[in-house]
Amino acid sequence: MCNCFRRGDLDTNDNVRTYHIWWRRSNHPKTFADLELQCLFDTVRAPEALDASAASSSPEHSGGDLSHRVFGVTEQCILHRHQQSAFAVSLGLTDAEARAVARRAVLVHAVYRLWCSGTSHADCAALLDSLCKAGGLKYALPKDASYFRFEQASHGKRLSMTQQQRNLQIYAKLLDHWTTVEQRTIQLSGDDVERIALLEDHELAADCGARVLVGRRLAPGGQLCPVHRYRLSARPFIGTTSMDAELAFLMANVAGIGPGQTVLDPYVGTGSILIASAVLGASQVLGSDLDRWVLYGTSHTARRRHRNGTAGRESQTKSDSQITLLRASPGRTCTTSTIEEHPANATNRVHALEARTHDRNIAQRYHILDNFRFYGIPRHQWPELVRMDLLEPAWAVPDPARPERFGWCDAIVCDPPYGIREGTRQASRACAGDSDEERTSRTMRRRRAPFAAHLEALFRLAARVLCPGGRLVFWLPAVAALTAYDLPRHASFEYIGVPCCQRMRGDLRRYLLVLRKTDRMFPSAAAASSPEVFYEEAPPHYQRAHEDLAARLFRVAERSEQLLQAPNPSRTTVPAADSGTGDAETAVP
Amino acid sequence: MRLLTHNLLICPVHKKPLAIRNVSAVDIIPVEYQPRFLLRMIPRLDWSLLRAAAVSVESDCVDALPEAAPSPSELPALEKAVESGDRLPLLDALQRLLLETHVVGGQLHCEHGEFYVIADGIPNLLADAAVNPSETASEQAACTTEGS
Repeated sequence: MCNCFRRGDLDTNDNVRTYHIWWRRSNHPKTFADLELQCLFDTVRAPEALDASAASSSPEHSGGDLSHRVFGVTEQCILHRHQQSAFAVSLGLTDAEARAVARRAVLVHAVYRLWCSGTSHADCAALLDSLCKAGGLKYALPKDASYFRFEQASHGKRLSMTQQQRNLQIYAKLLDHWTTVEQRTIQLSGDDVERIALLEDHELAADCGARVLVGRRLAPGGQLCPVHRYRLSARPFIGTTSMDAELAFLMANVAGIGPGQTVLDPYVGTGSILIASAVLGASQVLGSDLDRWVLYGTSHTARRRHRNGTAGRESQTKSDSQITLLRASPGRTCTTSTIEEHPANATNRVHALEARTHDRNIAQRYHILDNFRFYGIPRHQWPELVRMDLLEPAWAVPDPARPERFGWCDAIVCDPPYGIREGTRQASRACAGDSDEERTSRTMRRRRAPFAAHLEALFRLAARVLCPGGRLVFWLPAVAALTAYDLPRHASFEYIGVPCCQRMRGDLRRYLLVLRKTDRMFPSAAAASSPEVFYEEAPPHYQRAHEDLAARLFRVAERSEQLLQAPNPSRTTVPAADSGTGDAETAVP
Repeated sequence: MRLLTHNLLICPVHKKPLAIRNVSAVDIIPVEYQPRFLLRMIPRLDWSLLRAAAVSVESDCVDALPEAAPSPSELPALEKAVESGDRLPLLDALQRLLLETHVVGGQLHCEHGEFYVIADGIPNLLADAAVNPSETASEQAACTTEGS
């Protein structure tokens, strides 16, 4: 007999902190949904509300029988969940806050207000019936809602139609009560129909015995970020490593991006993460990259290569000559202004796709801003692009003379290059021994940098430009399961939640890390040369899961990062021996 | 590049603010009025840099810009005025300067001499793309001597 959640509040007062059921999507590991919920709980709950909630939460909710089931605690909000089950139960949000979270959460099907839970439907029905008799359920549905319906869902076991009918029979008494006493009518469709959910969860049953959860549906998930609308397959400009729309929204959500905020992506690429940030309301969207062609536009997009395939070989050669023409002519406005707005209906979309495919054959140049134009994102939310090398960042660091200007950025959200499909490159400066020709051909001079150098640069930047409480969100690639020894740490940052793992091909996986900037000041200028990222002390000869990624993944010793030169050679002190490897990518295959 | 972005950039080599010079093209793109965002950004700005930038793009809003940034004690009063829906000349000027003025072509000069090029509205702040006028002058001199 489970009585974990059965004393849920039954009135519809929006300001009561109570239990909610979160139906999590199953397309990603459930840890992603939990991380998203946890971060969004933090975001929606105003700081002043936290103290009030501590006082208002009744003692039986925080009783000892719950404490051993607490998996994640964010401020005052508690999330109960089982690793595999579809439903998670939270305690401590109001209905309005739960709706606000669900509006943004991409990994949530729907959110329900929990009425009661039990081991069986009969158990729940009996409890609800007794509550009806006591007059408690009178407030369970909003006063202005005169229609309602039941909906059923089951996780871990298929629910046959006969079984569903049998379940409804159990609640027949309740129906009598509502239809006769409260003058409410059953109706199956329509916007103003309140839905009462009968949810079964067999995984949760194994965990804590609460097999049946009954509640009122509050809102569907992800209304604010319709992933389908922003899918990569319809976007004008994508690259080989463009972030999937759903994951981009997930990253923006865990970064807590909202209206009025400043977001920075130092590895902007094709701008997927910035699109998600802008859609969620960020007011200032900044991107920087080392790569010339993603910033200034290119006709060699990933889709163009994919769609054309071998058949497009002829047009490819033809178009190459036109690319050079376009490169030679300054100004890209003539080529990019032909992208149309996102079409409203499906037939238009097909025509638009055909039109774009046609355009593509005449070597149109694509650009990050085309995606923003395509989705009709307001002009002030378009990204500001800067070409820079993150290992030598040009973002303003706070002035020690003016401490109030400390931190101008609210979130840094990015996907650093792993050195597998996108190179971990850095700009290589002209060296003392270079010939004049090498010295002047500045544009293509690149060399590989170890991934750790990018990690260090990212943390250094974040420690300086983020405001206190700002978040750093990025993916950490790894070839083995992450342990505590592998987590990069920084004196100014603390982790939120647990790192979430996404399996990629082979041994490769990546972990979504979410960090919050603490109030502590960044290290002083005196420590500028020493590394700021540190790790937990590991056993001797321990190789971290993200070290030497390419060499370990492909088992090719030549790609080892130990063969790379030390990063950041200064302009004059580099010995002449390095001059031959101005582009070290050719020297180190 | 909006002037707001310019305010957040420094020279990658010397870590000093950059001055806008030799502006060849400026775009004014009107956008929705955003007083709350501007108020939020005021404490985060380098005010003297903003004034210098406004002068270098020859904006007509320079006069509406006070000599010094509004102090933190003045901000609550501004916030109240914004909440009540007033149009403040200061915020109008900031809206025009920070959000609507785009430098499309020009140069960003570091006080140490080198400059970075803004092309198509995208500044190239790679350390190896810095143009050093003294170096270029000597190279040009070398070219002319070779040519002659």
